[in-house]
Amino acid sequence: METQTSSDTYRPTKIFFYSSLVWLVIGMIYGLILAFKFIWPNFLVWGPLQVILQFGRIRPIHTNMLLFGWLTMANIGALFYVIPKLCRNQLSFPKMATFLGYFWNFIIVVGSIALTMGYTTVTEYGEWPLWIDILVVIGVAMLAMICFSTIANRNEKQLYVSLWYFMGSLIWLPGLYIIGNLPYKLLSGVPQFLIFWFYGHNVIGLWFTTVGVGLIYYLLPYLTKNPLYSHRLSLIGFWTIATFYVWNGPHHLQNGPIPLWLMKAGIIPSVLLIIPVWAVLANVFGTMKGKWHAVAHNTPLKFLVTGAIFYLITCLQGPFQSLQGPSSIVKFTDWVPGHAHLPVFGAFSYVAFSVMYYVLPKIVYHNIYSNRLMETHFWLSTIGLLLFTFSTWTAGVFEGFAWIEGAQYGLQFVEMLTAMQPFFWIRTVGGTLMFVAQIFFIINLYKTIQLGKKSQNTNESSA
Amino acid sequence: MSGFANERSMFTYVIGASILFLIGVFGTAYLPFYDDQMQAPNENAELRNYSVDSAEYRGREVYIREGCHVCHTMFVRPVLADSALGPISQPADYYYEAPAMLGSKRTGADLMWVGNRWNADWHREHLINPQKILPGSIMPRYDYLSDQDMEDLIAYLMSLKPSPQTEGRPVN
Amino acid sequence: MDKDKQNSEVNNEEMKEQHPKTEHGAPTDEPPTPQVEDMSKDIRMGNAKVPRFLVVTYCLLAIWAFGYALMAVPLNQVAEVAADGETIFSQSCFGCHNVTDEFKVGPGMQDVGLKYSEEELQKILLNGIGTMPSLPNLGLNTEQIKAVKEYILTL
Repeated sequence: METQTSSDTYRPTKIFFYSSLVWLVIGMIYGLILAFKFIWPNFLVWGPLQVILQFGRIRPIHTNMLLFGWLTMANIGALFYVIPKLCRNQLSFPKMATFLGYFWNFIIVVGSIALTMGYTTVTEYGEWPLWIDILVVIGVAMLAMICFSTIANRNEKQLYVSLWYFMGSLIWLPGLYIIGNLPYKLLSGVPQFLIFWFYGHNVIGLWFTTVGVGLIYYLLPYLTKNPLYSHRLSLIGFWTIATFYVWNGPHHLQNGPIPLWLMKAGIIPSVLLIIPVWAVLANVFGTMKGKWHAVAHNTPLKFLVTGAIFYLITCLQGPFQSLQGPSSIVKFTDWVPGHAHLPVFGAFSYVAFSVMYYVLPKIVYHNIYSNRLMETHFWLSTIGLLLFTFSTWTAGVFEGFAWIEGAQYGLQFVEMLTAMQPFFWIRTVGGTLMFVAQIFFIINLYKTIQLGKKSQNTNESSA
Repeated sequence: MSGFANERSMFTYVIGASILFLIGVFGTAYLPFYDDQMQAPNENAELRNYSVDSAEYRGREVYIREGCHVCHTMFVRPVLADSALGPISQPADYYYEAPAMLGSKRTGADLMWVGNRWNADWHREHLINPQKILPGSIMPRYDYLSDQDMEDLIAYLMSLKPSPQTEGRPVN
Repeated sequence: MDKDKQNSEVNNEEMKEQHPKTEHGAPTDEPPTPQVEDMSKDIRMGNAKVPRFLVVTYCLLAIWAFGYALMAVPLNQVAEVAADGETIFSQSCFGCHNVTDEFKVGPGMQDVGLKYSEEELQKILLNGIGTMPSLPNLGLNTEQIKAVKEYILTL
């Protein structure tokens, strides 16, 4: 896809952005297959496909591909663009950054193959086998080195809020990836499961969330042309998320086999996360003051603000679900996938869409091809996501109460599942809309890139 | 962007972020290894401590390979939603579990004590064609498993029983 | 490569709005070759106070946290799930079996303990026999099956 010469400063960002789009499409196709298998368990059961598209094998492929192929690569591409801008310098080690782009794609490919073949470590969102984890850690170390070196050599003394978040994320990601993916035969039992969820929750909270919030802080002043509302709120937001988020793992074992002290140590910080989340949101709304009319015709801003609102909803649900009573009803049900899609698709993919719409014109030297396609992308994604989440939340609550009434296994359990079929249908329709939206997104970006190349070529030939 | 002179050094952030992270790691990922409740195996743990050459051990590998843990939990809580699933899980039950497969989503039923529920023939028929045994089930067919894998998997599932001392175990 | 300098005062968004498709020039709020860009011009930092409602929220959360840390207890909702054999029998078995020796769909249960040993009975309950389904298939757990067995042995 990439034909620019290596003198192009934005090459690393381009590689990461373009590859992330490929993984977005493939990962969502896997998601759709999963959704269809909820309706027809024998969907695509045909020859070898029965094994390589078996539900238990492809569900981790879906999550890993979208988390690490799409969202992580989009985030890294954004970091490689935003950090030099905020530091008023150029990216350090550009060749290594380019290499990292190819290396990361290699990781996603081999990781997905390994999962297809049934090699899994069971760690949710970290199912790749150990030798791939080692590659990931090397890749993340390279990423941290490139970014920290760029920040250290900055020409702008002041460290802007976004850079705090980026620095934090780049320390936390390697730390939690190593701890979460320790060789699983070395540990055992409930403490090991706690480590699995230490990783599973924090990879969302201390990587996707913190990079996403950093990007919100970067884009919002540009898109609104307002100053960032409050420096003090930014400070509170950053230091409280750094304090509380790490402690969230144990709430995944709420009501489970953990001692009381650990339950309290997990639940209290989960609820206190309201502090950083509301601080960020107050900052977003404060900055938006007087600029709400701009949301109507500025699609990147629309994505950004909607993403922030989805972030708020997720983080209102989170503390609620972590409490004993609500957890005893919605835990393990279809509520959970609804809740999980909200931050990674609704909140932080929306931020990534916004970043791409904002950054791509600057690196391919051409405006976004079509505003109408951008709008279509926004509305299809949003309607799809709302159908998806509301159907899963409703189904989840019904399932929870059906279990309380005794439909816990055997025929009664299956009867309960049959009754949930309408919701599975709505979920599939929602997922299809989300997928179609991304096709419009990619067509739009592809056209933009092509036009950018064309106008550049004519410019060069005329010069 | 002026007037925040203390925000010109990276080290505040690097060191602050690292320390706060390590405190959380210590509390939620390290300390549990030193908790008394988690440190003693019980009878159930011993029952599930399969030797490497047993059918149950191989069956567990099949269980992992096919991703059964993606849809089935092994996690009985003292809540109404789990009232018919059998004895409440305790940390000691999982002492030898590596990797631990407590699970996060019940697309299918909980399997903590599934060995009590059905017999081997039932499992065989059900794994080959779940819809025949439980009409309306959305579980995939596992008719592609080799005979060896199938028998190992069944042996593993049938081994998931509480020890006699555990039946009617109160919550502590 | 300096094609966009002439309209550098037009900002990117306005351009997008005015010429969503026709404008083929580069976006203009940034030099085409990345040079030192004065960030302080683009991003300004306000210094608003923390809003009152947030301060109140923070205080309430702090109070809640202390209360929770001191007072939370583990949930224990396990109702003594009906391990009462007679009740279960009337719900799950009575449709086919009388408690007398009268034949309904299946045989009556009176003196069933003489017909089968306890072990044989356990097998029948767990696996079913003839057209009778197994009790686990009816959604009964170990404790409940034990209770049913003990109950019918008293008949």
